[in-house]
Amino acid sequence: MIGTIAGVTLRALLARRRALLMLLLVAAPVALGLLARLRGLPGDPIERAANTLETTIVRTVLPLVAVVFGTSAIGAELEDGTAIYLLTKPVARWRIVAGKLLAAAPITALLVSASVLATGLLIGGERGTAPVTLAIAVASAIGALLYVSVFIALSILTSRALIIGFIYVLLWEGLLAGLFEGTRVLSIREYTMSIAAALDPSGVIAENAPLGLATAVVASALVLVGSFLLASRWLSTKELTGGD
Amino acid sequence: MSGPIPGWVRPGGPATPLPDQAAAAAAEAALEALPADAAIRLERVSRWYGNVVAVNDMTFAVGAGVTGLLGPNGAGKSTLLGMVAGLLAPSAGRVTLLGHAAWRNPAVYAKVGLVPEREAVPPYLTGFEFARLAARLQGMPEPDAAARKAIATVDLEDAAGRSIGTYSKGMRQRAKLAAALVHEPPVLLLDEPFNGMDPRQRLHMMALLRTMAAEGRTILFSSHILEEVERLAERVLVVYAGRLAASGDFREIRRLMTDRPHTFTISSSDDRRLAGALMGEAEVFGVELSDGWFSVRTVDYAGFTRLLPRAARDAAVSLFEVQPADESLERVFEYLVRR
Repeated sequence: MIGTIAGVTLRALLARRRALLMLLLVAAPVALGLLARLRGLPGDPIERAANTLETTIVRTVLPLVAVVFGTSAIGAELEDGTAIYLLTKPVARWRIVAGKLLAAAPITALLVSASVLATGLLIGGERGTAPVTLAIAVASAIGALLYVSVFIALSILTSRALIIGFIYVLLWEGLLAGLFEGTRVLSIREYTMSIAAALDPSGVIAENAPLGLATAVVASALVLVGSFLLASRWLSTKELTGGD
Repeated sequence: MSGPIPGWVRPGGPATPLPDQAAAAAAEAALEALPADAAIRLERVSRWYGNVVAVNDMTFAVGAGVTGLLGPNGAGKSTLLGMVAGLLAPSAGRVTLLGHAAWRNPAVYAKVGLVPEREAVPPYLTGFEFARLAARLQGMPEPDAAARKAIATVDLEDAAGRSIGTYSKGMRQRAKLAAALVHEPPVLLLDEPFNGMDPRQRLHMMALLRTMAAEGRTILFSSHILEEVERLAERVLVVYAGRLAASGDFREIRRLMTDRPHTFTISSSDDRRLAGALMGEAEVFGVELSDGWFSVRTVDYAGFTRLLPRAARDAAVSLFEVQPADESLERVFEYLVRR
């Protein structure tokens, strides 16, 4: 049942124009990486790879792709009314949320991690950037799962999930997390970078890692489970209108 | 459960204001009259949005056969169907489907098929895929075979391989019906199912619904078109301004609608003389003269239309214009609520 829901959701996500836009978005850092390689910029390639990947992908591309796919996975169906065909079937609401997550999280993770790998390796794969690139790619996949689960829940709660998602990413994570250290505990981006730091053998990311690994893992687990439970609960009390 | 039961479906409260006690007693009596084994039961159900009451204290039950939910646009039909389908929570009262609560109970959908009014259908799926998806979500052992059967039932085989985005409105309606029928549910809920269908498709769907009703299914469909309900429904629930205006056997409702007071405005070569002649007729119970025309009130619409030319001829008066004054369906519903 979850597989059926995931399959049709994946088809819906890829059938719309937004999939092409997301493809262009994840291609942008790759183009930057290519440019860096062609120009042969000086400096430590590992540090440059880590900085570029964090700035362009973890801070920007990952949350943007996740907010779009996460809020579309069920939010688009609730918005256009086609969710009625899913919600009037004898399927437990948690299974519907799981199906949506199973579609939107992997496609986000795949696109973002591929972008990380291509960009990092272009910057200097033969000059030792592979480990840090791989660490950020794996952490980005985990970050994708967390972001998508939060945005799916948000899209069930409100029809303004996309706007709220952008505000969270730009204001909360982009601005407040830089100004007030305490807000980092509630930032998926910080969890992602902390996990990347733990996976990175070069130690370059760890210099700026905001949270310890244990904190990041526990917080990530809480976000994932909490958003899943809330999404299931909100979906079970979601009212739909068929017309009139 | 099949077959019309006189007085079986009753309004939750009288249309004219009554003292609280009397209204409560009437509602209790209506509750007691509900058959326990009806597939759909509403017990003193209301639904409001802020200060707006969309459905007001309705009590009725629907059993096997075709029941029409008739009312003008905005009367509360979709809200009512939404609550029956478990898509909306009642603000007060209780809605049950096959003995189970409709709200927050997805398991009940194993025995219910819903055709919503909204046109939106996933445009990237073909008609067949849409029906098969419904079969899979219903957990059917052979979803392909079930989808093929449902597609054939609604006569959509020729277009089954095309994406729904390319369908006409009528074809979409049939695709929605195929998805609702795929698990052969005992209860079928349809919100304005004939919207966008051409006359041939409409006839086909009516025949299909009649067949399914004959098999013992409970079919509740909404419409704002009297003729659709008249041609298909054995029983009818008339909804107006969130209230149950009338309910029961369709012929009885039809009689109430026909026998209500009608007003005609007439203009003739000698209004005073013709008005005087009409006042002597049994079908007429009121005449009012105005400048250049007069109005006549009658309880027998058909009888009056036969009487008028004869009376004009006998009085040697020429008729210039005859117009029924209140023939909109809204006025009919309004009358039913008031009585």
